[in-house]
Amino acid sequence: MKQNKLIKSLTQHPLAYLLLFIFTIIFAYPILWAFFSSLKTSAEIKQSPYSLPLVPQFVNYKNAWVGAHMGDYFVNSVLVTTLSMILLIAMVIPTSYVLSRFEFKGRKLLNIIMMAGLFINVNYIVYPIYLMINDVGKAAFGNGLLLTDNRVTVAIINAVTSVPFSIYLLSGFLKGLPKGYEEAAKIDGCGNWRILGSIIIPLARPSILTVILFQFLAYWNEYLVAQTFLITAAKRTLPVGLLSIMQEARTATDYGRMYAGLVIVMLPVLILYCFVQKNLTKGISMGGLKG
Amino acid sequence: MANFKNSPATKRFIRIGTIPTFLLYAIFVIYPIFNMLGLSFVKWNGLLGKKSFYGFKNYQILFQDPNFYLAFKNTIILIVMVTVITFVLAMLFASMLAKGKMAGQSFFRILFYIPNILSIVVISAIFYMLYSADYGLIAPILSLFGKTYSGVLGNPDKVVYSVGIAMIWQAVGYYMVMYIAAMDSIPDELYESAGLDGATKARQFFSITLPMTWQVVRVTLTFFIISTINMSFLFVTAMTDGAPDGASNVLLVYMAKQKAQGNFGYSMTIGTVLFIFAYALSLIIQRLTNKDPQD
Repeated sequence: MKQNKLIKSLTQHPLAYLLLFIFTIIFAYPILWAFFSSLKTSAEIKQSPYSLPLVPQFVNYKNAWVGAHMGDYFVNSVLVTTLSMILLIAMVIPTSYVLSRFEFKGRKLLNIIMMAGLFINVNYIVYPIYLMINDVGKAAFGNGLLLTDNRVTVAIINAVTSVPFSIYLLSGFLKGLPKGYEEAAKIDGCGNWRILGSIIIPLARPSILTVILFQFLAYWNEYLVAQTFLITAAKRTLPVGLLSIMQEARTATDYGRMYAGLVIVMLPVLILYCFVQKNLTKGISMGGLKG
Repeated sequence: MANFKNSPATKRFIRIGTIPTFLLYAIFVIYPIFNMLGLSFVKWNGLLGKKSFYGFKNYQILFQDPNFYLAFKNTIILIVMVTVITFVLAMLFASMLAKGKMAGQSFFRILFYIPNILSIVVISAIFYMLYSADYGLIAPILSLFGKTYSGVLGNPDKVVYSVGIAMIWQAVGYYMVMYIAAMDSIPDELYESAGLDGATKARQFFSITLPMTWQVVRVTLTFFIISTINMSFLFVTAMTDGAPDGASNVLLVYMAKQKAQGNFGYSMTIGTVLFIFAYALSLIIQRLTNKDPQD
């Protein structure tokens, strides 16, 4: 049945399928190629880029995980990503609830200020932030590095700079909820926190999940802030570690290890994507279109 | 002035819900952006050096700096290249895959989106190797046709476009998904009656699909500008770091380099000019596209 549909579809749009298959190769092959290359010896990588590995070289993974410290960086990435996420959620849920469902003086202004933040990318301000934190560290502890070379600082910056986009996404959803539930709960004597916890959050779960997914990817993949702030090698996150393996590989030509490191960075994301791709693509249409 | 009758408990709730977030936002986003603006009027070399007021001198230097113009040119090349090609490909795929017309459409949608979830460092590493003359995928193919390939990332004429290709590879899926969602919401009847009138597929695209998705297209044009400026920084830093000899510098890379050389005030001037440029360009694009394409 399903096969018949495919064949019918194929014969109806042969050119479209040809084009889609060409681009399937263009999108999928480089990723598969990186996987295969991560299991090859350096000699194989150089001699025949298109061939499959003769004997899978799992030693590349050992070299990356232990030798290039990607295992330690993995732990750092988990720490920074988790802490960033907790901070973000703690800020964004109450704030977007208040901004979208309460009437109070100054609400409009706060909304405008927050939306202006959508234009401010962390790329512009990463260095001014560094200077500020360095100054504070020097004034308070006599040592700027104490605060700058610090994973908690990186998590705070990750979380705060992603607040505008997350509030934009969540508020859009919360504004559309019917008021009836809250009013009924208020008449029953529920406090605001209770209403938020037992009515709003359960209702908003799909969009909260979307925010979490988007920001998980952003935090896991982030490298600019981590690279600027974390000077001690042992504190690096995975993307920063990969960048340094890349630079070393150029001179030492240990490309097997580099490919293995690359797979270590992207594998968790690909596995997650298998489970959540629907939520993710729905989230884009939800967040993007309401602008 | 409006009088909002909130109970004391609700007032407290509003304060707790807003003050901490806005305080952190003010410290980590608003203050630094104004600090960038302020430092652009200062001559300041290095963390230990003294700041001295410089007026518009940094801006004067900037507008006479050939490296600034090169980085500016590269930024504009990438904005135009990435926007045009990504837009065309994303629209093309979306119009094939929207409305479930073709079997297997969700397979293609899921697959084409994958590059968007990968770290820019991962993509840069893959393309760096893929372009390599010794290890890459291009040299063996070209040698089949008897041509030699000497790499593109070391070639000042080709490096920017090569980075652009990696950026397009990364971006197409994202915009495709946005356009699919917009196209899915167009009523089927419009296409049916156009089909009865004998309108070709191409005609249907320009007279139905494009006008009906125009608001989404406008939003994405702003996304294209802002994200190309930001993404180009991450891609160039990871792939070439401006090599060869600054030929692949984009403005944010040039800004980071000036900072690394100790020209802090000057680097903030570059950031400020770019920020204003990005904002102005977005506004202009929004104005220009305010009309329906059919008018």
